[in-house]
Amino acid sequence: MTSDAVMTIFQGILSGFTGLTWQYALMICIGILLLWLGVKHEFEPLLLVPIGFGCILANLPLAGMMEPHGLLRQFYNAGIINEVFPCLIFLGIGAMTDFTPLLANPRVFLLGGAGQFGIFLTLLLALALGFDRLEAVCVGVIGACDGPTSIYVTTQFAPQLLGPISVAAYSYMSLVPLIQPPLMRLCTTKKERSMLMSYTEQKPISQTVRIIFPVAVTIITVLIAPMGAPLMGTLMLGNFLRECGVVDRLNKAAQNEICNIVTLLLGLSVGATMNGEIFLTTKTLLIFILGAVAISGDTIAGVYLAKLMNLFCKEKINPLIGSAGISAFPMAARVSHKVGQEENEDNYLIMHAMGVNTGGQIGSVLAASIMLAILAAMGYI
Amino acid sequence: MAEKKVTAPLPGIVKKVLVNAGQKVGAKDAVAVIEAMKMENKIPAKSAGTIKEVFISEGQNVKAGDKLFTIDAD
Repeated sequence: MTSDAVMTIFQGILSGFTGLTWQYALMICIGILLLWLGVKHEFEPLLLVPIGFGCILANLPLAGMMEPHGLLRQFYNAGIINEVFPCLIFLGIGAMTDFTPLLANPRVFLLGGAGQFGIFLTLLLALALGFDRLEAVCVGVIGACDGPTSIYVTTQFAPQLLGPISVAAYSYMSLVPLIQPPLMRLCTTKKERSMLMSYTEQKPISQTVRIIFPVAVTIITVLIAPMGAPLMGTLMLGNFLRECGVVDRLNKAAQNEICNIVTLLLGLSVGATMNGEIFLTTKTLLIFILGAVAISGDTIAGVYLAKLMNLFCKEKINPLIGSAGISAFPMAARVSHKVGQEENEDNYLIMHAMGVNTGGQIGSVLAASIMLAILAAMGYI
Repeated sequence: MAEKKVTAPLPGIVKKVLVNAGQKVGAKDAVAVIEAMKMENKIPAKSAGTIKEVFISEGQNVKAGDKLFTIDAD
């Protein structure tokens, strides 16, 4: 064998290494960081583990996982580009969600609306920072604090930003227990935080009401915002499967098998969109900053709306449950409960906060749908 | 000796019953764990004394205000 041939063989074996640019290497490190956060700190491991691994796979040079015939591209085409995965996730979330705390105290739905304030705040900020209109909408939706909704909206209107936006949305959801408590303490007095909320005067909710609820919500909200039909429709279908009581197998499949499989494929595909050339830009940095603004805005708006409601309502609510209006479920409700207990150990806010939290879930889908409806009316989409 | 009631502060499932009848408890001791929405809540005795009666068992659903224990307060 000539020395040239030996060189060629070596080049063949080493081509993966020589193709490893700094962008690829840095993205692989970010993938490893996501894995570490998921595994070691259990920050949303069900999401961060597939996203982190997907990111590593997509950034190994010459492996071609995201090339037109690559494996991850197949997953991406099968479920992200056509928005099937986010909707299937919603089917599972609907089946897992018990809306009883919301039905027992329907006025807290308003707080679920306030929890969407960050979307609109961030939208304006993003426009001011020079994102184009559709990109700004997608960045704003991080404020919904709702992964599937962010992915759904971004895929439609700014697919090039899917990686940064979905990673920002999921990272902030996992950081809710760190971001929210200081803001909640800042916006409330000790007396407000120690306010007790009782459960004894709540009436039990009949099964009839629980069955009618998802159907009624679907019809009303889709008439208001038709473009949200795929998300709201699947969320409420899932909840109907849960409450109607006759399709237990479908209910369980939606909660477990369907949701688990789709979470894996969705996470992998999202990770695979974390391409170094797109991800390592100042835009990504701005998206992460705006995402933090969005979630802080949601939290503060929720707490203050709760205080405002107390000015008019006879039956007072603890403003801490206002922050649960973001749809990060069930973390936000748990945060309200924990901050309440720190102040007064007789304070059990969890079920009240869950009412707000489930209201926030409906609120975030509705807010995104309304925003799409407005854009469509203005002729942008 | 006054009899004190311990009631459920929130609806949920009794995850653990931590005391038996006849047992001495301090006011800060947890007497039961009630799980609501996958969150475990320790229920404090509130008054020091001796557990007189236990009305709940593990796995049982309770509503807010349901009687859990009676305590003969010291």
